[in-house]
Amino acid sequence: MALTTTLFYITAAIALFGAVRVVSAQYIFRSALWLAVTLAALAVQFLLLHAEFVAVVQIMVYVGAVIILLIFAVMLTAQMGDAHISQVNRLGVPAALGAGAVFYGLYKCLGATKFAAAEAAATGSGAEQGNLQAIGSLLLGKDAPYVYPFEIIALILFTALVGAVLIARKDPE
Amino acid sequence: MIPGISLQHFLILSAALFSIGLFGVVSRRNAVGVLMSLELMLNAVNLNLIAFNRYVHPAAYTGQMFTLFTITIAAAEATVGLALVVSIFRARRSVRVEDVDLLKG
Repeated sequence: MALTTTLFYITAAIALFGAVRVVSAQYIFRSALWLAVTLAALAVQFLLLHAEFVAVVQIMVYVGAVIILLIFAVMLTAQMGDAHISQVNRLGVPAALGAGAVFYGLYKCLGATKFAAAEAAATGSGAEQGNLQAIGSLLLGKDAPYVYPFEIIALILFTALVGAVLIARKDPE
Repeated sequence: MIPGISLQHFLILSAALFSIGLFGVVSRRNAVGVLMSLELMLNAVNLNLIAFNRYVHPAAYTGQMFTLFTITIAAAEATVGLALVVSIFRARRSVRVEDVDLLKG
């Protein structure tokens, strides 16, 4: 088996196991750590798909920032007695059935669909060289098609940060 | 291309991650856990986008661009969501989802 094929199966197994632990761990802190494992495994999957820049962004933004934020929130909202009650509410069984049905439906659909375009393009060479330069010029180059979305998303991020500070601060007495 | 791995492999992995995240969103008791499951679902979608980008149109970067924007939105969503959780905890001393029922008739 080729190295990349083995790598796909190993990281897929790690990602799935980590995801199951995220939704089933008794302690929410361990959920956060398992989420980091899953996201890192997904970054390796992105690398396998030749999306190097997105893989690095995934590591920096998710594993670096969002996980830290989640862990802070877990610590700030720690509750006594959380270890003794079930972390799954009374919708657990219907939720499992529903999620299973969604997966079964998706699995059947994916098995039945022929991706003709994919078969045709997969034989082509594709962009094998690094994609950092291409992404940079798409976002900010001359006649860049994504320059307005880029600026707008910066505004959204700024608004969200200001909003988060406003929501989370203590009310002045 | 990865030998022996087709587009379907990635899509099925993504579907499985999405379903696990869906289960977590509905069944988690802790609001932070709900947010974590939400991040799982968003990441499943990202994997979908990049796999399609690679297998269907490898010369374009549309899927990767979409993924970058999704990651940004997810970061913003996590920030605001966690601020709400901290705010709710301060007001009600609880982050359990079933304790926040002010709008229930």
